[in-house]
Amino acid sequence: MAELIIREAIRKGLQEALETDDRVFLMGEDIGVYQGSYAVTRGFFEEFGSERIRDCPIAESVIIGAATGAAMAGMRPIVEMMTINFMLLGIDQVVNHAAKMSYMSNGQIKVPLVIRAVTGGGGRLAATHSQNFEGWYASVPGLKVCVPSDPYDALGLLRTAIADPNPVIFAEHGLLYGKRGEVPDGHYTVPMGQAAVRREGTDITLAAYGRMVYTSLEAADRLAERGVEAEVIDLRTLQPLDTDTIVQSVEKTNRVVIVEENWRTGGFSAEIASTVHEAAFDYLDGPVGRVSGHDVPAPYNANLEDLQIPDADRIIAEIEKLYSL
Amino acid sequence: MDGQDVLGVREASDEAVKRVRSGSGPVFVEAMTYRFRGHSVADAQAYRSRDEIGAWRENNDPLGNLRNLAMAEGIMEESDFVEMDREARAVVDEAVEFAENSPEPPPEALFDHVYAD
Repeated sequence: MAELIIREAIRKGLQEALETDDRVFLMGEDIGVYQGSYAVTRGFFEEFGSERIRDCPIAESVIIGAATGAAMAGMRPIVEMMTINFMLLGIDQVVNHAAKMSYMSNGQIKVPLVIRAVTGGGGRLAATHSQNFEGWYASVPGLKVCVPSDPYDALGLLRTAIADPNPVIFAEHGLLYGKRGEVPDGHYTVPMGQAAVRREGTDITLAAYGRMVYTSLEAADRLAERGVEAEVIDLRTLQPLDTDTIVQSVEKTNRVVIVEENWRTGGFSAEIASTVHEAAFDYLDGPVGRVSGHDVPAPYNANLEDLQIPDADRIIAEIEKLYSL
Repeated sequence: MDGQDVLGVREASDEAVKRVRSGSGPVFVEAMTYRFRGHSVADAQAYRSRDEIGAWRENNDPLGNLRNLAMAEGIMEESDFVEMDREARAVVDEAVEFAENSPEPPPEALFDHVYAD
């Protein structure tokens, strides 16, 4: 058992994939000589060389398109998109090509591609560098979406993503890279579509992913002080989505709030809320709540950015409003 | 071409624009230049040496080159540039002071200007 931060856990997953599978190679901007914009690929260029650690020009559509082609031809490319914001320049290659090859070829063509991208706000990086688009990708048939929140899941899900025969969007929250946790030395994997209960409780269910798991846990701690026990569920993947774990929790708590950093309008929390309504209607004591980012671009001002992103206060206020707890 | 050569870039651009306007098709101007600073404050610039950056700044700064040329040609004097630097510094200092002395925006400002009025 080793204690790693998320950055190290992802690095470990990439390293072992490069060491054990000749088909694996990395593509991205500044992943080689520069050692990675978020230092995830530090040392790789020296160790594995320019053929397998491919520094690419600033052309996201070309990077994803070329990686898709390589995956179709039997390689196992892992792309680093630096951030999910810049990935917008390559979204056509993701949605119109990588995601559809299997279906349009009647299953003859596989695209075993992993696209890693930093997601999320809170870093004082302003409106164009602070967005959460993983929910968009989760709505596209043919794509899978991982949203790990701790080192154990980051490594376990990355292993699963690399082994998957489909394109996987691996969204890494920029403020969680330093998050520390225990990671077994031996091989293990984390399956997609299996949420984790991070805190057990009987009074209300909070379902979240990524950084919002920690915000939800903070809210749960404060609720506990007044005798309200919240159960906190970490979704871990958005596609596939583990509805069962949420519903099972709601059968016990009869109340649920979905917490998401993304904008409220059209956010993935709306999809989850609707699904839970349908599946757990008879168990609910009130409407499924949602706490999301306010529908404005991320402000540069620190105080305003903190207001834009959900915090424990807003989660508690939503619970009080909906359920009078 | 040498992208550090201000007048050279101007001349080449003039020529390129003339050719395009005359209808003889597109023109590609490749101006080789050098970035004095990193991409951002997070860029430690491990990919190049301080000596390399220093040498470029010292010997091939487009602004410095133009300044030297203007003085050699007797178009401007050292004191003109000192005054220009002073003015530029004053503008920036004033902007910084304004920003640092401005009150924090109120919470409701979060929702301003998402759409134009």
